[in-house]
Amino acid sequence: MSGNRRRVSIVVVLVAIFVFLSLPMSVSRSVKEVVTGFFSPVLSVCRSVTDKLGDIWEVTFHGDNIVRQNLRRQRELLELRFELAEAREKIKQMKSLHEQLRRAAERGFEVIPARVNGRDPDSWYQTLLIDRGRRHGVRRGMAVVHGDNFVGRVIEVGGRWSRVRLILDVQSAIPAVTLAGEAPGMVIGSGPGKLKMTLIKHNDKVKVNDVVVTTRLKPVFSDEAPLPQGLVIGKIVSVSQEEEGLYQSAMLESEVLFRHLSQLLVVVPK
Amino acid sequence: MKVRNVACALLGSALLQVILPNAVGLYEALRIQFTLIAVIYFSLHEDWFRAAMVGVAGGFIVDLFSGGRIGVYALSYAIIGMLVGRVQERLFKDNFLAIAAVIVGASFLSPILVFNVLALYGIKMNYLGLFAKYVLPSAAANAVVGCTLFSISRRIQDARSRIWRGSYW
Repeated sequence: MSGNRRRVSIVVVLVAIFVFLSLPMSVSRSVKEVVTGFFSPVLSVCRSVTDKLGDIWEVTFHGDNIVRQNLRRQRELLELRFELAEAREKIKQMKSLHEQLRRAAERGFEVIPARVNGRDPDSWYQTLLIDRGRRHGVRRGMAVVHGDNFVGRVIEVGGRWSRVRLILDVQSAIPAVTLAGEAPGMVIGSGPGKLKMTLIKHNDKVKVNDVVVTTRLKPVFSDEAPLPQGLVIGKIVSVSQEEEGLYQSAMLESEVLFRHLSQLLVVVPK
Repeated sequence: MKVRNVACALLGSALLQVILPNAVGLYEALRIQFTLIAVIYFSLHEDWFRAAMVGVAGGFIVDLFSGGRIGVYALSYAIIGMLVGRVQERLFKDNFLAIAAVIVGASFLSPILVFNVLALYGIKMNYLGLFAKYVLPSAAANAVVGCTLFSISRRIQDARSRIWRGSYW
């Protein structure tokens, strides 16, 4: 290919990229639905394979030698003690989850349990792929929780998969309120691992350790599910005045370990 | 280089990039960008035009699996591919330090380009904070994994050429 033709081709490709970039999100979503839907079974199979490989690894490298076995038993004993402590903690959490589910049921929610199949290829977007989709009753906009805590909303739905945008994502904005002072604001993702509550009125009283929960949000689009109120987002760890002085902002800490998420609940409003 | 091989490698690396963080509980910042490594690998063996095309394809695949707009990574990887394609003729590719430098450079350039495209849509990120916490460890991991994969690939190629020479004589 001659030099000029190459230059023309590269310009055409760049223009095509800019056309893609300027497409409405609904078109991008449709394209991604097709592709991710196609690879969704592959991701499920890969998850099963990695689980099995983990088991094989355990059996192969931890089970052939008496000394090693002895050491392993000792380690297992230690681990079991930890697990016992964790189990007690989990019972507490389960009770709390049960309580939350009961409350959710009272408020008219059902839940769909889902497993995490994959994550966003890069750290800049904080999204997850789950193995439940339209066929299981998942709709766009549905809230996703882990234990007691709100972790994100469904943004794309395929037949047997969905994409969840975590609250940590920079494009996420969730209307919220503090439980103690009922100060409304907006919780936005401030990059990986960070949550910020902005647009809190100057006069509203907010303090460290206040619990922040979601407020009801009516859907913008007809196919979107409403955001339920009362789901715990996190606790306030610091409060600061914004530069203009009209609003306050607060940094939040969620109890969720977002990098270890493996099972989630999708909240279905009745 | 066959288009089919390139497509398979890019798709495989993108799938690995989606699955691996979920399967292995690594430190969150250690996201190994297999697709970027694959783009650099092919770009180091091609001229700037083909390298840019490989970058577009790799970025496009990452875009399809990511939660953002389509085209962000395509643009970023196209520019990286083109630059690597330009540089590769003057690069002593037998030296792994040079390859590691290219991978680290690309790992730094990729988020800068992505952040700038996102800024056009009003999505602002804290460059410095993210660089220290995420880009540095990720670039180091990319360099280690990239050099390892390049070394394996070179050994395979050497073995193949030895077999070929053996059968010829």
